[in-house]
Amino acid sequence: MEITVITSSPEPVYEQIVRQIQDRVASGELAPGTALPTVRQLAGDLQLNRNTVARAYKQLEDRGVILTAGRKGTFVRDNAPREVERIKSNRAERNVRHLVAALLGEGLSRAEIETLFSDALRVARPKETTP
Amino acid sequence: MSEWIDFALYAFQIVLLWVLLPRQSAQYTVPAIVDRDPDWPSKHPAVMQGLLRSRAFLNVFYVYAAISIAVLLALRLGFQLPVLSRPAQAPSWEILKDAHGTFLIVGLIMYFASFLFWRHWLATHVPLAARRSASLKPRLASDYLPRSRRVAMEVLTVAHIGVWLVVGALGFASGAKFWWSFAFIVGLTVLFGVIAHSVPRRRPGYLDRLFGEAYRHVEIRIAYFMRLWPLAPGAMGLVELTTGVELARIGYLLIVSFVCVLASMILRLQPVAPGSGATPDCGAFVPR
Repeated sequence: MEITVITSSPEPVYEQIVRQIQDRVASGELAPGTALPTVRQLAGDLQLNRNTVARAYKQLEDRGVILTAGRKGTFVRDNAPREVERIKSNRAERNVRHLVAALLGEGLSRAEIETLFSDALRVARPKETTP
Repeated sequence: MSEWIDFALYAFQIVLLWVLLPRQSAQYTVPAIVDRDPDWPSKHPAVMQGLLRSRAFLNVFYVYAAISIAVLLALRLGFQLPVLSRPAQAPSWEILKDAHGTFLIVGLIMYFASFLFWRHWLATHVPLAARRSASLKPRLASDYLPRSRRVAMEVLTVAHIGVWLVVGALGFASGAKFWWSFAFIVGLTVLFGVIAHSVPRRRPGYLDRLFGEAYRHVEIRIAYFMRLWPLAPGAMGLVELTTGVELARIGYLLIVSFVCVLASMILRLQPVAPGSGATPDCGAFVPR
């Protein structure tokens, strides 16, 4: 199982790492209890600064996705899939609220926004997998 | 024991280290570049042609190997060389040993300098690709070497250091020479211990891609095998210091044989066929 980062991407590298680990937890590829590489190993393999990987791991730890158990290593938490789902739904909810607020600010009515959403859902395709 | 045996072993080591290993290393030019940026060779065809045509690195080591063997042969045949002159009473095996040791150290410095130059050239000319990949699987020594062997190695290492301490504490040998030898043995033990500890964590690179999973297995086996190294001079040093028996010649021949075994392990590695799927999770940089 590999992780791929693109250093020239506008998305910060640490966020790419966080997103990919969360995606793998959500898809079940990284099951609860699975050991992750050390910060040093992952930073070395990706030829990144250790602080970048440490920041990603810290964020995942703060979100309750992974657990660092001292010298034993870093593991996927037991409730990580649930946490990832919660993070995803929170993010989705926040994005939708921002969008709705912006559309209301543009002067669109409630009915018009509902129509726009249903149209968008009708033509929407699943997002292509990105690294 | 005939000094021809010493000469044969030294010559064999010289061929391994300064002919066969450089020849094998020279084949890594393209993989080392592709490992940093898969697109770089196609963007710089002229530089690549120049690199592939250049034989300077190989020629320097071939000439060095020829000179080393010629000088050792001349010494074995009894010629006096002013640069390597020794006191008249020095035995011929010692003259041969000292000359070989000098050539070995100079050769190692040359090899290391070439390696540093190549690394510097790569870092300054071939920027890292923006797209990079790594495995999410932790690498541990236990994945490559059975626990029993690792435990045996630790027990041997601790026992070895313990024997030195017991000998020193009970007064079978003591004095500055004993404790300096002890410090040297402890230093070697720590150094090889650190190397063995760091090998599983090393970043996968072009050698892993070339040789597949076998490469890290061999590397870890070599790293753990090298941890035996301090035991041989340690045991011989103890015998010398406690009994006064001179073991310098046999000890040196053992070390030379040890280096030959390590070099042979590296030379026996066979590249895996591209696309054979034998190198899972090893790529640091993925081709676009």
